[in-house]
Amino acid sequence: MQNWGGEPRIEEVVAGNQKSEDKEEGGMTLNLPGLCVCRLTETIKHDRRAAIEENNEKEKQQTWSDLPVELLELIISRLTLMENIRASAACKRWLSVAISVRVVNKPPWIMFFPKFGDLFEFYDPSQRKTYSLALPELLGSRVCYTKDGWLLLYKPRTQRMLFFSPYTRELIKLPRFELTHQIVAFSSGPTSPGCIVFTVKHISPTVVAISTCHPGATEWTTINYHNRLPFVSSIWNKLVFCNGLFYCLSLTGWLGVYNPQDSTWNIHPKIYKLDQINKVWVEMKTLGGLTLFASFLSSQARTDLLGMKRNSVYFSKFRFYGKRCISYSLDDCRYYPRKQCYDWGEQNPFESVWIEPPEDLSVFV
Amino acid sequence: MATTTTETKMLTLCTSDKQQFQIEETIALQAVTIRNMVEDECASNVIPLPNVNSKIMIQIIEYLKKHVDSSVSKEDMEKFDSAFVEKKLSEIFDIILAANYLNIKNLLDICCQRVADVMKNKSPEWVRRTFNIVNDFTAEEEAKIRKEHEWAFEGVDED
Repeated sequence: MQNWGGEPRIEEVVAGNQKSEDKEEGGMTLNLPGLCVCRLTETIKHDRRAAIEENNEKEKQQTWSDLPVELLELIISRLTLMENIRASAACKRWLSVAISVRVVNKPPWIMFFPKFGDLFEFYDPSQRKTYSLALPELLGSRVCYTKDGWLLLYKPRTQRMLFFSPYTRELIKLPRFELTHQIVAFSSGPTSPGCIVFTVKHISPTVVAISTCHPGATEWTTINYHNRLPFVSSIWNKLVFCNGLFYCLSLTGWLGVYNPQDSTWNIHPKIYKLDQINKVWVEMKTLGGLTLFASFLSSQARTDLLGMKRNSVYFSKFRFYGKRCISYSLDDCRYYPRKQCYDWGEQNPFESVWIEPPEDLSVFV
Repeated sequence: MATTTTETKMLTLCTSDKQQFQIEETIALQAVTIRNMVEDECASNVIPLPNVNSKIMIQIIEYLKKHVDSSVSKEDMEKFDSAFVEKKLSEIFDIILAANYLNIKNLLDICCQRVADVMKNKSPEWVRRTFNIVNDFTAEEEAKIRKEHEWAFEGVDED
């Protein structure tokens, strides 16, 4: 098994000891049996020959396995994760270099909201570990959305919306706003420029009110839009920010798209949305290696993960006794663990959410 | 090799096999190692390069001559680079070592990229054969890596 084919072959590696080199007759060509052929200019003197032979002997022994680690790192760091893993199976030296330059993404964690008290559980699906953190700041508030490690909270009693980072405990307040049966999303963390908070509410079947705000603003901006198509806002809608646009999928099946750049709102008809849904969730045999993390309030996608299945959807629910997430693999067409299933209708949307993991674990100590 | 003209300053590079190359200073100074030697004045008129043989030096000079020419468009330079690395891997290996020693960053980059490109969709067996690597894993160790990352070993090219 270890001996994969007798003697290591060197023909590809040692510079020019092949017969084909003989044709290169420019000036003088030395062909020393078993040594490299070296093209020399006319100025070569016979007394230098010994030195050249010695030098060529050295070169002959120099092969890829002698490549200094820092140069091997340069090569292997240019490989994709898949190629990196394949290269790591070549030999021990390559394995250690491949691991040292391997870039692996972290999957998001599930943050579980407690029914009582302020102890929140964070579950790392790749390590199957649970951490807990007391977050009294979250008492009396509802998590609306999460992105870039930030939570958007709503306190119904004070009608206050605020950003909260569970790891740094930083709080950023937004102006007062009354949320009824509507969902909210934001484009990026409140400390990054261009952060916009967005929500949509229907006034009448053909009129929606879109409210936006940004950290530091003194009040929300609300604009009414007239739809040609009916749009119903509901807590069961799906709202996501992607590539500069807010996409809002309503219960009626219409897809509303809001562009914060020019404050436009467009509704796309049902057929289009159904096609979209079929393409993504039903007809697609694979997610192209992607891993999706789905939950009610926000969903995320990742590539280049280790210890997590590719082409799979992970749900923000796990079996406590088995300590693993419920997932569905598009490759295997089945749920993991077996006999599990995930019915959106049965889930409490405010039970858990996917969140970026902390930079380090010190926050839990 | 290049002939001396009265106006341009020339440098003489001496390779490991004691070959001498006379080239314009502006061409040679693209190699940071040579530039440092000239700036530190630790080299007289002949710069010794004991880690580069004449065969590789000829190719490196070809590369440096092209890259010193500021009239070449970015597109043409990329074309030249991709044609330049179309060499046997053994030669690329020697050029990587020389480019690293001479400190010519872009040359090192394009050669490392060439090696990485060659490895696309190739099996570990192919990599070992091509790069003359002896498999020092036990059967169990190798099986463990393959099992741990099964997905990565699917769909490799036929050897």
